Amino acid sequence: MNRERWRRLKTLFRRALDQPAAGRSAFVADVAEQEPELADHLEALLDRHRDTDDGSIAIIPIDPPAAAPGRRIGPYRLLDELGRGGMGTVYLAERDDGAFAQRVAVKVLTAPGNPRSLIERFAQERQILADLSHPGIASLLDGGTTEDGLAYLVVEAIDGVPISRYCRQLQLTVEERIRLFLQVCEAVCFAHANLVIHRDLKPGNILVTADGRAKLLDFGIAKLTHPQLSAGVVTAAAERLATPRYASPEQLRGDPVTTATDVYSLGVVLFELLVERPPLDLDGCSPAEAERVVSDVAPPLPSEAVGRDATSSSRRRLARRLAGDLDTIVATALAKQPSRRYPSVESLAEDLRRYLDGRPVLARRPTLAYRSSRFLRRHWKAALAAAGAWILLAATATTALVQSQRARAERADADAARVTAEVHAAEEAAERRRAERVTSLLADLIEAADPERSRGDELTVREVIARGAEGVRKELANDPRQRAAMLAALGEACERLGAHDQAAQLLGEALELQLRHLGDGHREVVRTLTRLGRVHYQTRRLTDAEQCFERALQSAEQTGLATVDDDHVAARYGLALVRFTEGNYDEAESLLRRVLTEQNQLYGEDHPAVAETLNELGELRLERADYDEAEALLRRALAIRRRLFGDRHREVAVNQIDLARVLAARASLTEAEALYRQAFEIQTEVLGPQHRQLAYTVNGLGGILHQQGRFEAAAERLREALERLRAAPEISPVEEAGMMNDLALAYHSANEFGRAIPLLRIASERFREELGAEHPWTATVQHNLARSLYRDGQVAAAEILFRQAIERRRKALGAEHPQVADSLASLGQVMLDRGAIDEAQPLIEESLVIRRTHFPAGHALIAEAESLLGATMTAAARYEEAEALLLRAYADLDGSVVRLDHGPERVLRQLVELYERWGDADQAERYRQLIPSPVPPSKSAATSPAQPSTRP
Amino acid sequence: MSLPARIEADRGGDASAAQLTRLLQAWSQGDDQALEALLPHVYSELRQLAAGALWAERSDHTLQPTALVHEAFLRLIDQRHVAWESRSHFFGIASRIIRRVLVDHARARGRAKRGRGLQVQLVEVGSPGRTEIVDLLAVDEALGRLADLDARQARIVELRFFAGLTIAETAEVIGRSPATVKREWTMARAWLAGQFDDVPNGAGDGR
Repeated sequence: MNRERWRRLKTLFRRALDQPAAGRSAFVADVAEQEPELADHLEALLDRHRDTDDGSIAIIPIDPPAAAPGRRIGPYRLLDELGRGGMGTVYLAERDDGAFAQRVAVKVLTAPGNPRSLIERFAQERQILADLSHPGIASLLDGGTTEDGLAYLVVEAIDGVPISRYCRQLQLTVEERIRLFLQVCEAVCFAHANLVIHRDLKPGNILVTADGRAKLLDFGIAKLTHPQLSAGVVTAAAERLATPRYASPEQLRGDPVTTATDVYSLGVVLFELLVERPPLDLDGCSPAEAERVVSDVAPPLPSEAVGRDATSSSRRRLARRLAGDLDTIVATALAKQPSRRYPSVESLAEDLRRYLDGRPVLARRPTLAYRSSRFLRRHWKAALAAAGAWILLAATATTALVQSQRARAERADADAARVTAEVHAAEEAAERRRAERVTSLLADLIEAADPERSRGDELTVREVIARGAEGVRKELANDPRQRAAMLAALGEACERLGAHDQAAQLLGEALELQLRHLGDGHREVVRTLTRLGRVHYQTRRLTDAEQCFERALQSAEQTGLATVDDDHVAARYGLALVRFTEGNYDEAESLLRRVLTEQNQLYGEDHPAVAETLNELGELRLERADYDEAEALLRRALAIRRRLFGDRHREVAVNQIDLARVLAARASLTEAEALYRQAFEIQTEVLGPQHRQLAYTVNGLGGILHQQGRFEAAAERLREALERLRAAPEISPVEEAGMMNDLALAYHSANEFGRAIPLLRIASERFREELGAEHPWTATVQHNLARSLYRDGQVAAAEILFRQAIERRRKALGAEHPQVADSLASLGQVMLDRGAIDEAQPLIEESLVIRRTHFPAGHALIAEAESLLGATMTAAARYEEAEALLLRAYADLDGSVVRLDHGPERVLRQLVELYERWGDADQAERYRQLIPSPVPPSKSAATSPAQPSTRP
Repeated sequence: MSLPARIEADRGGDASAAQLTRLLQAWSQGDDQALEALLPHVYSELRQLAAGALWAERSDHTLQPTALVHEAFLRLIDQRHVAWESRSHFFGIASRIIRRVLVDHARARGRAKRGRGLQVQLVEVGSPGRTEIVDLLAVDEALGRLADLDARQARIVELRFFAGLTIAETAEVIGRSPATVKREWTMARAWLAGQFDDVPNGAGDGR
């Protein structure tokens, strides 16, 4: 073999691998005929070829162990080898000095580094560990060094099996598993109280004895043997831990280790006990990749993980069992940020005990209800719509970054109940009468309750209502029906005042009375349920809201009325909003369509409620990327509002912005920008220049700049928007995260991945926590994060996130949504880079098919998919097809106003690659000349080989 | 212009992590002199670490090159301030040094025992069960032969074996696309597998 023949062999080998597996032997036969001297070599290579490998590979020298059964170490005689791990070999041993017979486990340490320092450290820590005397902890009995320098620890010998195996073998129930796990928590708590952190909790260190007692091994030993774990280490820690599977993100990063680290590891163990598989799939990851995955990838909820492969009914039952509290508990323990986890192992254990006792768990409150009621209060839906809708579009086009801006916040600020109240506008007159009656009754009641105070004017309205309610309860004690009606009316008044807690309480009280005295199918019940649902919805108690609306609809059907009435429609509308907010677009849409028909029957066309429904439907179609329909709906809504309110009304401005988002999505940037500016003007005039709404509007303008390719200017605007938002008195984590996402996208486009990634990490985490992993917006931010990670060269983490995004988007949006196509194309690109053509091709083809159905011919996104497909054709030696695809893609991208990550210069590189492989050096050179020399890069990113050019 | 403190530090063997980190950054941005300044530190650190491990060899110590390289990196470099690329570059040079150190060790040991040198396991991280036991000197020699035929492939193998780099990291170090590295690696690995066929497999499982 010489170099020349080696080169030839290389070409043959590559071509052989390009053949489908079935065609390889024919190919080798061909070679045998024409180049017999290479055929054997080729065959030998192909024989030994393996297709999979992307992890790292390591050399581990083997030396015969110096310690071996039979040997004496200190006063102990080694009996059998029990196991080997990263830190050494464990032997069963016997005390051998005649003092007394005792079986122990002797761990002969083999930690890397200088054993001398290990021994010094050991001496310091030994006392602390020896004090750790607890029935759930295997005690440390002794330790030292032998004459020939072997460091060893002597530990109580435990006869047991790892906890995970124990659960599996005995097929324990969920409850039994949790009780067992609680024993573990108790032992860890004890250690924490003694200021000892375990640092290496994993099933292998948790043994269960035959009588069902859990015993922890190796307490605090990780600190002795892996001082880096506390000192700060990235990959080395992962390298030396037998598996990074149980290590927390901060541990892998090398940040300080605290008790929160043990909370995380316990979370992983609990997840495994419940689901019987790890939360994150780290197989095949190098330590560095594992670190990135653990830091970036959100694990599924236990119920999701079970549900994913739930084929049997017992697995499905398990998924249902885990959904809810157990999901919440595990997710809280597994939060990426230590501060978001349970503050202690004790609090984790407490929640598990609460779960077992059927008491409400505490974890949900801080993450969902509590925080939302605190931060979101009245405007949460507004905030969500504002931040989220924008993001959605932004990411749709992988850069065809589109503006969005939501003005719900403003509306919510002004009048929390207004949105839904409008539905009832037809009833306004009746309401007014009713309100008058309530007011006068109230006055009477207040007087009756406290005649002396009734003329004082220092009472707040809320106090008045509270007093009124007191009066109602007293005065109408014997008339439950009337009492319920009055309490409900007071509850409605509270809702309007934004006193949601009070409203919910009063409405709930009214409802209970009405159900008892009127029965299910009564109009009053429908009305109260709808009101209560609205209050829950506004305070983000989605499940409660859903129950109220659904029950209201059921009751309405039982009333026996021939046609629907206002409350009935309002309940349906409320349910539609719940579905929309949950991301369940199918159901939301069919509900809204029905609401629209019913409203048209009740109110005709020119009615604010009709405009509102049309607007919601338009947004829904926009989320669905059906731009024609979305545009038509929003124009209809806009026309109604202009007729009703005139041109300069905030409802009009909001509507204009929604319309602008649609136009931006189809790259009609000029009209979109004009609409934004009009809206901006109206809002400045109507709301004043400091209003938080302007943060959204500025954000929107930033998005348009981004889409026009003016990245620096866009980033500036987007930063301004974020600042304006942060200046607002009460902001929700979601809206802030939404704007961070938008800013990150501008950084991404400017190749500043280092600035984009941290923003996206925070945004992604927030969305997952606030909206749940299944929400399409969460998937969108994840996709964005993956995109930036990919461009930054962090391919493994990117790949996992792309796969997740595909799965979640398919589920949430349907398999043919253009966002699914984006994630497919991105994953295809990753596979292409890796040379996995067979995997890349179907992904890219599917993406192309989807995009062709959504975008006009010649659209940049279609061109992008075509050029990726062209590159796979090149790799598969289908050169004619590749040429046709690449040339067309080049022409389309070159003329496109939409700027993608994947620009014309990348297609040029693909063309060069094609012609080189085709053997046409002239053409290759011609296209190479066309590649613009790289702009003097501000960052190395522009020339980094990690850039997703398919084949440089 | 003169910063005596810094000059002294550079000359002395005890440069701070911050200084070495700066050198590493400078080098990965193309400053070759920075490499000159950096190399001796890496060399001595790795030797020292290896010596520590060798000292412990009698007592059931493994001598895992990737662990040593990681440890050297951690000791020398302030990781909060290096980009992923710089880390790869560091591992790139370290892989070569550690190969040298290991081979020297295996030779010395082989002489001492008049027998086999150092048996090593080739382990794919994350793919349990996929291990192969070979003689380190056989690996070294095979790599030498490969380098004669195809220097780039040999380098790729060196980076992957001795520094445990992934495809993407390897691509970063040698400045080729991951796809290219993957292609080259695929072939080199198939070829190497053929080279070890002659070595009786299971020559030892550690006992």
